[in-house]
Amino acid sequence: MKQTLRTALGTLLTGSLLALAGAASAEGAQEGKKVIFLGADDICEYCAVYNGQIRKLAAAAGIDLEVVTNKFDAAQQATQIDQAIAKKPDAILLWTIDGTALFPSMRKVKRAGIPLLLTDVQPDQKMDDLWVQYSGGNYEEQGAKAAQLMVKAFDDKGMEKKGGVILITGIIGQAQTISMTKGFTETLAKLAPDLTILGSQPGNWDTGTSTQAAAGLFTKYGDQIKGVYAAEDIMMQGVLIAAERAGMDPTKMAMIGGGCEPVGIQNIKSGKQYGTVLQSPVDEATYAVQSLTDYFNGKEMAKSHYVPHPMVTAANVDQVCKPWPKD
Amino acid sequence: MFRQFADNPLMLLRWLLLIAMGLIFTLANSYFLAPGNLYSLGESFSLLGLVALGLALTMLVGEFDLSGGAMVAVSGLIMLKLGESNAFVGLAAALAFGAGVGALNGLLTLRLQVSSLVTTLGVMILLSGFAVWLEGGQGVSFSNYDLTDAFNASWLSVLSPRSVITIALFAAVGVALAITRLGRDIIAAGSHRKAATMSGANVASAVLSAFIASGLFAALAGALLAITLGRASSTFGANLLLQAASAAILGGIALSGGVGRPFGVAIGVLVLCVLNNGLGLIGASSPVVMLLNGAVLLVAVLVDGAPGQWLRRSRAAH
Amino acid sequence: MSTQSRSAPLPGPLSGLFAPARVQATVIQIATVAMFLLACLTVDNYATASNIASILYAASTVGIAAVGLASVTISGNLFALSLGSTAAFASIIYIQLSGLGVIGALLGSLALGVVFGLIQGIVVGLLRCNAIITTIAASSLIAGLATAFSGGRTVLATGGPSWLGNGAILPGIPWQAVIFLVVVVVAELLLQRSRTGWELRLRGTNPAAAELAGLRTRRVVVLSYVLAGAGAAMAGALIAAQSGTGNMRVGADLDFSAIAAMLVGGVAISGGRGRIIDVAAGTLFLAVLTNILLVNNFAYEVQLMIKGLAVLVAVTAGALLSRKKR
Repeated sequence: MKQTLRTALGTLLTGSLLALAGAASAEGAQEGKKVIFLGADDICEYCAVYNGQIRKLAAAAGIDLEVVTNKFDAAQQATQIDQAIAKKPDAILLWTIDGTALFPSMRKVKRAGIPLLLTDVQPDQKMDDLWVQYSGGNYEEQGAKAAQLMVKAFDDKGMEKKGGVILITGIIGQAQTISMTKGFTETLAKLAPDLTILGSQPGNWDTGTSTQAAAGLFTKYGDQIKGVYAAEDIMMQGVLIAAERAGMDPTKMAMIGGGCEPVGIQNIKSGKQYGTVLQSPVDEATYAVQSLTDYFNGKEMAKSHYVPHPMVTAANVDQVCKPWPKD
Repeated sequence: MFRQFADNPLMLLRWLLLIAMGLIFTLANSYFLAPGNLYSLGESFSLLGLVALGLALTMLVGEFDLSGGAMVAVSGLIMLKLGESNAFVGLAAALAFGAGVGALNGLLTLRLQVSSLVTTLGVMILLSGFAVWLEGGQGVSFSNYDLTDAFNASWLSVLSPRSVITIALFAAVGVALAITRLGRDIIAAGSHRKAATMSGANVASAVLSAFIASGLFAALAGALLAITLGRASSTFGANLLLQAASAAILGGIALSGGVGRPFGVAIGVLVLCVLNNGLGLIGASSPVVMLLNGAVLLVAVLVDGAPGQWLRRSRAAH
Repeated sequence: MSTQSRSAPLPGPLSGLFAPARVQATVIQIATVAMFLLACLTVDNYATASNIASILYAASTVGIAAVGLASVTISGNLFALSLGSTAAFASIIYIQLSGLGVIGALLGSLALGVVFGLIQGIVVGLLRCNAIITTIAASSLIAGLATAFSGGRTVLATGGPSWLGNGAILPGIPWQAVIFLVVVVVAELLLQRSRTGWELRLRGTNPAAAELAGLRTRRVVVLSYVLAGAGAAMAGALIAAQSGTGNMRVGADLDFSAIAAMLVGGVAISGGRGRIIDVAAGTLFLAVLTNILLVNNFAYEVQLMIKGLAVLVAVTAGALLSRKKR
């Protein structure tokens, strides 16, 4: 009896110790792992915040993260991937400048046996056997939510959902631009079939360009334009200036931006911009580091893990949008 | 040999920079000399080198081709749009387009007697628009991954199809300039246009050939890039023009024409590629990358200018 | 290359306008007015105050930078490629200094442009270094400094837009356009009527002869880069004033837009030929053209192709019209 008890206790004790040890290692396995992050240049503000955040969060998790950036040049990124492979890291975190252009490089990464995690730009999911997990924004969803917000704006302002709207998009040819435009146009067509998109011009993520582009459309269509979707708040700033110059009152229009950037928060609070869709670089960086940590700790990983894209209006702007950290 | 360096401080600088950067980066990160990293150096050398070589030829005849970067984007789009079923068709079309635009640039410059800076600027803007039109808002992709894998292959661990083609072209152009009639005409036309005409050089052929080569090489670079990435976009090649100009001038090609050789250009290209490769390897931040690129160019420009000449004169006085 | 035409001279005051050296500039001026009138007739709301203001806002920023650039070109140094980064840095400085009021912030940005221009001028003018590469190097250095300074972030002005950003002297004529006009007049007088301007133009026509003649060529080159830097900085400040924001993306296409405006207007890239009035005309031509394309909602690729064609056609026509008869 005593023997059995001792054995039982012994087993129990050993078992619990093993379990504890196992739990401890399952939580700290990412420490000291070498990860190379291939991202975008600081010249893009969102990217600058993301890069600062990911350095901090990776350091906090104990990951040895190296950050390599490129000037939005897919060719340069492809050579950077070759370099990264040569350094034999424990994992590569990739923000693809052009999802499709990097497929051959991703195949090289796979052949080299290095795990690949993706962030911010999700390439065609047909090829998703090339990566472990994508975490980050869903640009098509953002466009769709922007369309929902636009319809909501019409309703809130008592406007009939008939008439015209215009689009000011990002740089033509970029993955984000294509997805956001697609999401917006498809959802708008479903929710408000009587609203027509009168015109669409690129604002190139720049305020000045957006002002000029929007001004031209305001001249042509004038009062027919009841709302504007600018894919980024910094571009909406340009649209608002053009609208006021054209003698239009933005508070009576459905002005929808994107990102919930500091300039967007300002404009929403003043009433000129109705709303925006959140994409927080802090969220994306957090999800990316979480993705790495989960991988190293052997957790089960879904193929896609999207950051939240809540719709933001004056009612919830302070709760939802945190100011971007300065580092 | 050392006398050569003394006479040409810019050449000395090129080699010094190359060796110094090589040493610094190797010490900073031992992976600098790893075959995989040298391979990636070869890839960036190939892209910038082809565009710089073409630009250098136009500079040698005393002109300047601003349309190289835009051509890279367009030719990549042509390559993939027409080459989906048969890559050779796409490649041929892209190269023909490049040569054709080059001929247009050359003819405009010769017939109008307007500076090529102006005509190629107009062509550059036209090509940018054409590229956006070709890609139809979506960009163009290639699903022939066997072909892209073939172009991404590594030979002897450090070479690739692209770098081999580029090195071969540099060699061919270097030889052609030295021994063929056309080559000599190109250099004569750049050194002194009037004297060249009077001494019987075929200046028109020289200028035309230089521009055709420039268009052709940029188109080749764009087509090869597109096959390697399996993708073409109007955003490709955006940074290439200024880098190619810097590489050419760093490589000893004078803006006035007639001075410099492909080998120098290759070293100039290598200096810029090593700089950016090394900075990428150590994970330098973007301000640092920009500052160092500017600093390297500034040093080169100072050496080539009065401070360098002062050095040369004080040497000659001895 | 002789510029004498053997065709019969036109009567009276018109002969000067269509002389070989002036014909491209004159044609562009006529074309601008023609395009504008045509658009007024065919497009609704074209001649409204807000649309005209829109044209003038776009023209003023590019135009001021192009005027500064023209002094570099006319003095024989081809062009400068550091305008974009100077404008970006200036836009950030302008917003940071907006607490000092419009004039204070403007002076601060101008000082930045003058300093960067001065450095480039010294390197090219006094140290005789390659002009184009110096400006490429400067562009990288300035962009690096600006990115380090701003962290890549957009700076936001507190408070609403100022008279500089938003105000107009008359409906349809913003204050920025008035500033553009003043800059053009001052620069034209400087170049055409002052000794310094004369030396600058002569240096462009024949640098060697200018030096032999004892002209202060080095000083003139330094001045040209200072003007270019100041012009670019002012453009950046004006852009920032309009939007109340400053970031690294300001001025991204300023370099080639200014070059195009200058060339279309009839300034010769080889130097020595062309007037500041031409630069203003070229700027307005491209601004009206861009506006027409945007108002008609032409696709982006079509806009680019038409602008490229416009540059080619303008310089081709200019070259053909001013050629001597063989």
